[in-house]
Amino acid sequence: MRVKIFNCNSDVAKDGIDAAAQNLADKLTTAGHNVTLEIFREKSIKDCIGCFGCWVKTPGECVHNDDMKDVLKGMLNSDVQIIVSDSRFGMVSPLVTSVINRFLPMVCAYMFIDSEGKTSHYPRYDNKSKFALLVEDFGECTENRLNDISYCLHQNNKEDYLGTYVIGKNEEEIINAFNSN
Amino acid sequence: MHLTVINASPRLKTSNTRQLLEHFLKGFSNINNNTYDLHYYNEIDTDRSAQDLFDKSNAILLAFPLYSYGLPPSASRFVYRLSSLDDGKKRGIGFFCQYGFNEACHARALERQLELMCSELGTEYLGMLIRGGCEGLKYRPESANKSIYKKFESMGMRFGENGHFIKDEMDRFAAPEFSKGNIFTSIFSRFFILIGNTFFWKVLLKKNRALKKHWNRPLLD
Repeated sequence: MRVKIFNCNSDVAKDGIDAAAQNLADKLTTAGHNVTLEIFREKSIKDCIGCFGCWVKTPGECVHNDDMKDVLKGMLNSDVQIIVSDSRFGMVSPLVTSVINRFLPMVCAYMFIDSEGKTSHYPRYDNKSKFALLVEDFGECTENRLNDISYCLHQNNKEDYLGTYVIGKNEEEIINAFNSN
Repeated sequence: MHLTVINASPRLKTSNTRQLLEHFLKGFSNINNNTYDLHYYNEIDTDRSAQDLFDKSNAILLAFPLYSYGLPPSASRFVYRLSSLDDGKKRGIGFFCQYGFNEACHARALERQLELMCSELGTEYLGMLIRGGCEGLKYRPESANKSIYKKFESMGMRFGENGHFIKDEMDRFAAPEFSKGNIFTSIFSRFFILIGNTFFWKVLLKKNRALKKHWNRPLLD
């Protein structure tokens, strides 16, 4: 499988997170996957400004001309994306929120109500890539907290979500999740 | 009560958050000689300035639009910059969250995270005001916004009286939880979607001469 690892560790001092991302990349490569590891704090990624230009002015294209365009293209050409994040107070890093907000051009403006009674936007592309989150150990990593921290990644596509994993606790299980999908 | 308000909307002064906050704070100020100071997130752009603000405040209200079911990076950075203080001073943080989708369920995961964040930060959790269906206020006639502005003013008064949000009141204010359950909610929500698609998105697309490009897939070109 074509795997993208988005290392969104925002704190350069937390080198254990970078090492975990690299370790995961090495293991997946050894297992025969085509892996690309990208360090997002070295990229130029501006915050979404909520202008909706990517929906109503230049549909599918963000007003910001930065590295995110290549990231989104890369997502369309991969089967799995794994986001790696540091954590504070049991929340993902601002870099992760910045990246996820910039996924907006991947959906269209028009809305519908899904079978659970939640409003959603129609997807712009047909690709069905899978997601996982690998997060720094923040102490009480209960199932509920891990579900909440990754809500933005799985609420629209539960069947394509490979799970939330904790560095130093169960990151090895990501490899198993690959094998069972 | 003195409240430190942070507007963390990326749209700053043109935001729906600002418009709704204005009415909320009007209600808040009408009670008990309450006062507030308002800051935009771009004025708090260093670790030190965030911590200083936290340090000197007894009560903070962090206001933001829900972006992708979570905090916008501007609000996330503010939270990330804070550290707990051991000065014995009682502090509380409340949250003010508005967004476009009609249902409250979209903000619940974040609500639970922020409550736990307060606990780990060693501050009192003052509750979270959640309100969907707030996108495009500036495109609506003023008469259509009167009712929602009144409700925000009333919530501001209640917050001013109690010093925190009351969960039951907040749940009623945030309703509906889902766009299903009873026939009225189901019909109203579908009507809301129809109006949103037809008189908001389609009109904006037409205005920008982008209607035919709406389903474009530029990343495949």
